[in-house]
Amino acid sequence: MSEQDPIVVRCTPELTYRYAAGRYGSRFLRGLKEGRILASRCRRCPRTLVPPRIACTGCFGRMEEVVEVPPRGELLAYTQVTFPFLDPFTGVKRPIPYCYGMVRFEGTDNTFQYFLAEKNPANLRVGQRVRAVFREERKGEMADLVCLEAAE
Amino acid sequence: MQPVVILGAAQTRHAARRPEASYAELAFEVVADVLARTGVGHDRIDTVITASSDFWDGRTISDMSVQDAVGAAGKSASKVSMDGAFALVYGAARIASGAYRTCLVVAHGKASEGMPRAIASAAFDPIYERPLGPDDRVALGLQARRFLDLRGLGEEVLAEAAAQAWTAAASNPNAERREARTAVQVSSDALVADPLRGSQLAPDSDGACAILLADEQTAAQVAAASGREGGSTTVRLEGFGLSTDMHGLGDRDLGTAGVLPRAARSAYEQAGIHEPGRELDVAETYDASSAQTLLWREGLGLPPTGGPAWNPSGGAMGAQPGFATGLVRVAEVFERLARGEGRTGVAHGMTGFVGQAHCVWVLRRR
Repeated sequence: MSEQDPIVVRCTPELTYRYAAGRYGSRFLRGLKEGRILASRCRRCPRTLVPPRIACTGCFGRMEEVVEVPPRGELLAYTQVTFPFLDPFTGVKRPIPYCYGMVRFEGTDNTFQYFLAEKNPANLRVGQRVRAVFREERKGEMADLVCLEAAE
Repeated sequence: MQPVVILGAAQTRHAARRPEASYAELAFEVVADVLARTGVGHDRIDTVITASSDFWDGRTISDMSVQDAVGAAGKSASKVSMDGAFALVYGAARIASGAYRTCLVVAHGKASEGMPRAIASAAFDPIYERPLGPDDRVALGLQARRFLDLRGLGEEVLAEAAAQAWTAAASNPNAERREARTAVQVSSDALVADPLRGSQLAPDSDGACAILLADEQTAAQVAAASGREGGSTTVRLEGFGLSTDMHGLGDRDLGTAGVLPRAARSAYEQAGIHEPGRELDVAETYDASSAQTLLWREGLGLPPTGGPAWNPSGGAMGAQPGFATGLVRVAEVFERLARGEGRTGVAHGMTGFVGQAHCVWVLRRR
């Protein structure tokens, strides 16, 4: 290092968080364990949202109901992830490239984002039908939902 | 400028851990509560100001993740990444300007989800201070030692202040600490940051607080609609003061109340208060340690004994829900004045270690 080089001090703070899924998020994750997609419903609007949450995005009222919705829907957008990143939950690099997309589950009013089985965006199209794929042994976590695959 | 009225306040039952509720659910809880208490519909809220910390929440742009829950979608919303008492300045300015009729100010904090000590440590200078292992409590220990030395006081004054706070918090249903303790009990606790013991430090809590502000005309309409007497029990924000000190602990005099007297003077001047010890009926402070309980009392220009009801909720020593802590102080003073327990009160919020920045509010019932 020369006398003129700027001095930079490296520091890597380690921070762990314990995010509360909350009352509604906990219902959703337990639903995954049973192989079900759960949504919150506001009867006033009416509006059904995945994942379930406390405040209705339509009227700001409390969403009182949690209901099951069909594990299939329509793909409304997709993209491909090509840059390497560490999965925040496992600390392991996820194999790239892969696709994820936005799906509107039947009977819901918003879209849910998840991994797609298809790795090549050239084989995807907006409007195509997709269905949820669950893993065999489920634990009540997001990984219970493996991906969304083509349903036609 | 438009006078600023507090229409209502709501806070959670603060606790060491609220694992069943997400940030958004805590925030929704207090917003739904304050709307229900005041009878004001969500559609009548013009603007929303939230206070949160990205580091605490573990979320970049942490305000955006609670916008749905505080009902901000479609409204003018903004954020203060400081204690909620400071966010109230932003909210009150919006009403005072006349640009908005109603403003919801919401603050939340969940110590249980992150690593409070590590997050605190990251606020210190990475080159000169962080290698020493400082955190908020270590800094509070340094401050307490300077305070005792400067006054020639013994550690028993810390125990006495802590016992008073624990005893007050015991009768506050929203406090995390609900157990009265004597000076002997709080001085037998383990030392956490010499000379401070665990029970002489504010706890790390989960909680949220919401305050609904309005201009006078809206306040009168709301009062008329609810059947209450219009105006007779209105609590107004009548003065505030902000003051920030140097960042480095070595560049401040930790044994004094620092820049708090400046903030207090500004608030008192605006509210026309000349003798705070006589004119104030209630005072609530963000005291992160028992040394601060004593320092902030002095910094607010209050006598060591007598004067207004002092931290009747237990202050921050009873519960410290992150950035909601200072806003809870305002809520506590508001509730007391609204119930007719006194006419004028002072509420204090703080951001930064050992009181780098202070915010002082004067509330008055009309």
